[in-house]
Amino acid sequence: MATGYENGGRALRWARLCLRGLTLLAGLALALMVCVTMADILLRNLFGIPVTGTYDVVEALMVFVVFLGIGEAFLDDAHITVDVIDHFVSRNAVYLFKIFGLLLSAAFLGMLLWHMPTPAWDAYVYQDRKPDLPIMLYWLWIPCLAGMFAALLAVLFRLGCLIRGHGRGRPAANPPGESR
Amino acid sequence: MSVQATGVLGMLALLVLIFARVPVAIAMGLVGTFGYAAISGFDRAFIVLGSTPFEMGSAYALSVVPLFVLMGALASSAGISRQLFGAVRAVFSGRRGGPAYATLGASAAFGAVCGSSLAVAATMSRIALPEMRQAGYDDRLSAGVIAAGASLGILIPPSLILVIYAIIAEQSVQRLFAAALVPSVLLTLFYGIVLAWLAHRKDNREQVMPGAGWGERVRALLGMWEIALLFGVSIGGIYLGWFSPTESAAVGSFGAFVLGVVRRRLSWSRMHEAFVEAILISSMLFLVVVCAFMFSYFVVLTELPHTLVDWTRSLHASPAVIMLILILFYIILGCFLDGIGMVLITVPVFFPLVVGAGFDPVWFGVVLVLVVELGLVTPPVGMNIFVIRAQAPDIPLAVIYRGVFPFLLAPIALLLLLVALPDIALWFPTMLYR
Repeated sequence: MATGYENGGRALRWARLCLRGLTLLAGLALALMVCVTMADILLRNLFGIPVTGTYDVVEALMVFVVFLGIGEAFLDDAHITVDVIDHFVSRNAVYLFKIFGLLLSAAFLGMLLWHMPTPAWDAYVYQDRKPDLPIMLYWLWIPCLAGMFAALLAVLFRLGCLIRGHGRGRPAANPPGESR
Repeated sequence: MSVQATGVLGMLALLVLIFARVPVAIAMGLVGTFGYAAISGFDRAFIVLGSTPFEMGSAYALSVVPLFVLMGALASSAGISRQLFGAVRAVFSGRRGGPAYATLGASAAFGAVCGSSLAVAATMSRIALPEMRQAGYDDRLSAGVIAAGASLGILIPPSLILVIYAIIAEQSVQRLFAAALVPSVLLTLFYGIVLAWLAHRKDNREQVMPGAGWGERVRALLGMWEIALLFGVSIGGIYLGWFSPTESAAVGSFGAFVLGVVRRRLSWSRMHEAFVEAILISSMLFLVVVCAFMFSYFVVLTELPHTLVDWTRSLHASPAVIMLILILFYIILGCFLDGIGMVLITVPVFFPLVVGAGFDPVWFGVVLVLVVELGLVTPPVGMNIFVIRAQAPDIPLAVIYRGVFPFLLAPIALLLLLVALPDIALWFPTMLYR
């Protein structure tokens, strides 16, 4: 099945490589989350020694797990989209709807990126930290902002591929990452 | 303009955006933000927008989602589904409809370690469809039983939809998992009854294969001990209060990993695939949940849920009638919306109505998952159907839909039973956590 990535070429490979790097980092955080939780369960139940700050560690790792994969999820168009309208309108109209969806996605992510640094800065100014462990919250804002930035880049990349592909007369019904 | 009118406009805008191919998460986020701003001002709306993703992303309660997703991905990579199908096929061999029963049984068992209906549909299409075709089944019955069996994946614990409902409605995951257990067993039985009827119809040209001996059947059943252990420890651990849901999901993931390594099925590349899959699904779900919270903040400000409660009270309708209307509404909505989207959009609006009418929120969670299940196999947006079609492009969509149609009787019968006898869902959690 054509993926539409033909329109991306080398740029796509680089985009995929960078975003996959972030996804793998998130995977590592997930593996650590399993290990920390298992260690806590085993030590608590077998020796009565719970791992101090398990909640803090899991919450810190969660930030990496959920934010760092968002970029690749957008590149793959893994987000839930209702495409009933495809059956009722022409291919060109579907193309316009896809552009519209991507533009709104970019606008929303841009809005998030514009407003998220404020609480991040507050966390830095007030030196907020986790309750049990000395984990400063502003450090955790870094993966959060990086993930959102990667997501915005992925959406803009898909938008660029879609517009370039249409301009060259390539099928627009199946833009980058679209598999449904 | 009143807040209620703003709320109605917001709902309409949301539906328009969703049907205009805007991702469900983005549509909810945009409507939530601008709706909030319309009522409370942009300053407040942007403060909420800026802080909600981090608050949600570092919430311990949400960590259960990526861990259960990982458990399912590792279980798939470890080849559990194929082993399950082989074992259940041996048990039902020599019987009319044997491979179809095997598909149903393996789907239910795989759903018990996987939690995702789409994963079950994709896996069973690859494994069971060729077997059923070889046995002489027509594509209608084969695709129908796969789609129906796969839909069990979201009801049988660990169910991702139930976890998401628990987060949105602030309910206990433990109680929800306990409440879903009996209905999921009943639904499997109901599907079995429908299957028995279909398998014994005159137009079924199945060639019944010779049956396995009793020894072989027992060995096949015993071969499933690892999977039973995985489900028993992770989900049973929740029921018995050994673990919290997050801990249970971590134990399940670890167990699936060990199972894959011990059985030499989990190579580096498969593990890599499983982790990437878990991360992408979790990220996607996370964005949806964040945006759903933005949307629900807006819904609360609109006072729509309370207006809805007052309006239904003024109708003097009985709670059962209200619930039947709601179920009908959900079934219609399920024809167009994806399950997760449906739960996230509607729960903030209808939850106060359901609780106000005297229904148990845990019971409602089970009912909601059942109607979502119906939505997975009903046209035009039946995600299970699309997954089967993607795996078997030579089967026309219309044939798959016709194949699923008789199986719809089972969840509808269970829904009616649940409305008439709520204790079917509630007695087990009541017994466990009294």
